[in-house]
Amino acid sequence: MSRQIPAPPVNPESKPFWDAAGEGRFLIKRCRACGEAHWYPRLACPLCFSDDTVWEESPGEGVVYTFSVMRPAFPNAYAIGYVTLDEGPSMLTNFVDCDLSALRIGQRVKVRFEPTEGGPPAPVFAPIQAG
Amino acid sequence: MVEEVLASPIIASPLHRMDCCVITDGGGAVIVVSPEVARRLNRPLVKIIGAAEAPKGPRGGAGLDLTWSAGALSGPAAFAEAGVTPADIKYASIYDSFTITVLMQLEDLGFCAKGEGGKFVADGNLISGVGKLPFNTDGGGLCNNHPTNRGGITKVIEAVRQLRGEAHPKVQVPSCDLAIAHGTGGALGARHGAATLIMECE
Repeated sequence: MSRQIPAPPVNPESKPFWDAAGEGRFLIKRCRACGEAHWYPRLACPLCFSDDTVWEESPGEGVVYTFSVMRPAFPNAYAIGYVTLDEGPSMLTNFVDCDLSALRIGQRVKVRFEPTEGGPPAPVFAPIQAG
Repeated sequence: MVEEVLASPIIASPLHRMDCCVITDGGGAVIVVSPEVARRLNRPLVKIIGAAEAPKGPRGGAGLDLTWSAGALSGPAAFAEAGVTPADIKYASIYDSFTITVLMQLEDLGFCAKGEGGKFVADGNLISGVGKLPFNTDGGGLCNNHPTNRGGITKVIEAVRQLRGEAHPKVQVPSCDLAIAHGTGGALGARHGAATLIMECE
């Protein structure tokens, strides 16, 4: 693990997401009124405000939109950044299990889950190896 | 010097330590009164002629674009109310939490084209007495003060000093009759707001 991640607060709106995360599955929400996926998952669509939103399991793949490497945290330097999921929305996350100096904008990444301090695991991303 | 900045340690790539503002205590206040009261105070008069604010949020992750800030919304609205253009501005106070903050605001406010902020600054345009847009002549957040969450007030104060002709003589802008104070709050990379104030001498 690249750093300790605090336990995420779980509430009725987000519980299905965290329950799935505990099983290694990555869920997003999609709105049936406007058809758009969004992040983070909400009861009401943040784009059209409809409450007709449904859970959808995602492969959790996308591309690095941008990132920043926190160097003072050495020897546990870590990287945060945005991933634009193949379903459309971008999410703020951490990049793990890779050479942080080799991260690149546009690189393909896939979700994985990191343990947190006493809570459900949190979604982070690692590069998809070519070939 | 640019070399000093680049030689300072990386904090959050690509930002080096000297790309980041100082950390200080501080605060400030301004007094806004009616024109009748202002005339009785026997002080140089500064008038607000344009003001606007705007939020920008992640919108559920849709269409993420970190190349512009809410200043692209508040700036044009304040200029429209004031009836002036960026080219008319004699002095600018621009919130400078990080060097990138300034570059983005210069572009969003229309002082240069999108993507041209770096060149605009490298050409010396922000230096009082040298460039087109004398800027943060109190040293700003990068070189003087950054009272957390109160960084905006010092921006207004230095703009008013310039308009009153009360800035430090080494950086006072001659005939400074039109100034802008602009800032962002929150996280530029996520949810934030921007506020723009345009002021002139009476």
